[in-house]
Amino acid sequence: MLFNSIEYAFFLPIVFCLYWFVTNKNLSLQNAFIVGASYFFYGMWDWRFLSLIVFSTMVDYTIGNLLHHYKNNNIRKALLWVSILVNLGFLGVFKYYNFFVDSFVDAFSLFGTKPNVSTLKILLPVGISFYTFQTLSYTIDVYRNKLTPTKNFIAFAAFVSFFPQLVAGPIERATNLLPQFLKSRKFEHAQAVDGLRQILWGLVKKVVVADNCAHYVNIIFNNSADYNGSTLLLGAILFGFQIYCDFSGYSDIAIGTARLFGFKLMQNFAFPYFSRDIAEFWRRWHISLSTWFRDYLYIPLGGSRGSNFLKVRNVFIIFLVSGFWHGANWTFIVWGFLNALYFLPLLLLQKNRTNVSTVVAQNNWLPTGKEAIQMIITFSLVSLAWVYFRAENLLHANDILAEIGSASLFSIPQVLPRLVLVIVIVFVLIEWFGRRNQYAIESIEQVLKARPLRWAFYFLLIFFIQSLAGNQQEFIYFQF
Amino acid sequence: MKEFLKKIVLFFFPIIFIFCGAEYILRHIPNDYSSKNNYLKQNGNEIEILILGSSHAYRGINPSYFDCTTFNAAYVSQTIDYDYFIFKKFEKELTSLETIVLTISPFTLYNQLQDGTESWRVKNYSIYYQVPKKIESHLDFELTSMRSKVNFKRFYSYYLLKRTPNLSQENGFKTFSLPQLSQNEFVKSAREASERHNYKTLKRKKQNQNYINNIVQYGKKNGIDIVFVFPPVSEDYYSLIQENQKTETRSFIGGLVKSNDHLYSVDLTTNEMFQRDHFQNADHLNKKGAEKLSSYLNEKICVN
Repeated sequence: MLFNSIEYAFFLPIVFCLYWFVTNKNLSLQNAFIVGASYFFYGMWDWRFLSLIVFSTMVDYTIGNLLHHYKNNNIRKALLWVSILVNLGFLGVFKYYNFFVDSFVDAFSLFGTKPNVSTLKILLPVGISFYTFQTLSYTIDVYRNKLTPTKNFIAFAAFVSFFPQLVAGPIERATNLLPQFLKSRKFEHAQAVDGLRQILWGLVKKVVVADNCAHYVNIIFNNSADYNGSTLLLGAILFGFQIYCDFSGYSDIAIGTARLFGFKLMQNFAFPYFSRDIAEFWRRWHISLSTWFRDYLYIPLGGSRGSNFLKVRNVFIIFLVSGFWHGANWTFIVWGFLNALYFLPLLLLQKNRTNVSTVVAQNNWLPTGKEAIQMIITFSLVSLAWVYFRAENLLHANDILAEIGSASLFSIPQVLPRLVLVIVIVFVLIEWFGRRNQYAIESIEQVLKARPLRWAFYFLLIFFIQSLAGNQQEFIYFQF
Repeated sequence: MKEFLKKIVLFFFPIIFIFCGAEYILRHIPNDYSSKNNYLKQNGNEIEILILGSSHAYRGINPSYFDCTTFNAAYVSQTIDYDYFIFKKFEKELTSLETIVLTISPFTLYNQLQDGTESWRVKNYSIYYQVPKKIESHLDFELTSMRSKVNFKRFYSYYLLKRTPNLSQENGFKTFSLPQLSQNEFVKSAREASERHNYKTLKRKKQNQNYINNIVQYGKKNGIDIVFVFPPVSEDYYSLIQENQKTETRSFIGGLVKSNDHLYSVDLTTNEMFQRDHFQNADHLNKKGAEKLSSYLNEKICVN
């Protein structure tokens, strides 16, 4: 079930009403209802893969409690490894098996032999990378004694399967989300209104911006050989907006939906295209995944401590793993590698934490010339890396980048989607004025104080969603 | 909570009202799907020959040239699954049916409407033929399946300018009202059509074969002849269709015809009867071509 589908428009209000009016008297019942609704939500894609979620839930619930029970370090370590192997095992089989087999065969064929290893026709379960990482964070935190495991299986199952963020995040930490399932929720009017507003903004991002960009991105990338450098660059830029609005739009809808049910999820995007350097970009892009890798991989590896060699090694590991997390394709690995390269100079010059605490032009309407140039450079670097993310294979990406680097970059684009460019420009302006918030229109109540004005604004957004809707596309991050 | 719900109702009421009103208004604009559905409902008992298929049949077989009562239920991008659904839906009404003309195009065994770029047309079958929907719910509504610009143009043209949409003839046929293509455009149309029609996946093949088998079985049980027509297409187009696709299709239909007495096959794919001036584009006949094909089929089916 997609967030931007008719089914969801029926599903959400029904679940909301049953949640607050029927099951609200009893916390366990309410949590059980969330589990049921979430399984239904997920089962609409494929009921068979529900068994994976149930199994993963049971394994991590049991291991969490055993970790608490045993004090012996060796046993605890073994238990942790069981959890890691089970979760990553699922991921490995469903997501990476064919990749490894193909790469193995390719590697051998370089030496003139072709081993007879067959690939499997495996469907990728939607959201497997997201809920796997979420449950892993639970066992690792319990192992590290940062979290006391819960004895409440229903609450734990609700934590793993919570439908707003089940298939594409934000990847929540058990320390943040699980306690929210263990205490009763109270309906808060302001929070619910804010949630609805964030859902609306997420829909605008997805349906109006991302899906319209997708139309031209598909045309340009699918026929890249026919286009000149400027058109391909335009395609790369539009893809940058497509993927941002697609994924952050999903996150907005997820966070907004959770708020309707009294939950607070973490912010997943913080206006990444207004970043002044690549390090800031990575603090603002897919925050739940970046921080996951930081906490559970980068820091255990030593982080930015130790020799330069270790620092560089850790940076490359984290970016390559992050690329690989996105998909079993060399294009994602090269994308990760490129980002590591971008990050490296900042790390070595110790400038990777320059822009940590403030947003760009914190107290001004407009950025300074220097900030504007920094943002443009960062955006350009990111956009070029996106070419690898979107391309079919490395050859395809290299061809596109070669054409972008040729003299044809200075010719007139062969595709000029005027309406989409207007949409993108208006969108960037709204995001710019809302960049100090969690999402762009969060503080609309301070700008439009009178309710009729605010409602008119919301009606206008709904009108745009209906009238400017592009062809319905699946959320890009579902494939991860 | 009460305050919240009150606001929600107040906020969404006008949206739902406008949505339902607009949907109602759009559904009442005459269109080919509703008129074909109505014709079959009201006159199904008189039809002796039923034509099914895609635009190759819709634009190529004109029932006016038939001596028997014939109806063309084919349509643009209609695939075999929808041919089957339409036929099944009206099987009780089709009491005089003697022959089904089923056009077999190069994509018949491989494509389904829901998979291609024309998938938005699925809404027409779910709304106007009440065929059970196969994909997303947004294709259950005019408003959500089409761009607003298109819907607004339809609304403006029909309700404000009082223009009647250019529909098919009552017998279900419609020819092109476009100028002839230049040679370059013709070749381009061959390339574009073949790109659409060359299969990318075999995932629908078995299902599509089953649909054809079901129609064949129904014909056998009820004494209805089935004529498979491989419609005329230009060499420019046909040469770009994958060889195995052509061979597999011919062999599947050939196999059926061989083992069933009530089945016939008419293969006019690149027949010399049809020259360049019979074609509107690389894979569709024009008015003149449709006249020729229809007269030919009439000779084969109604006269002999």
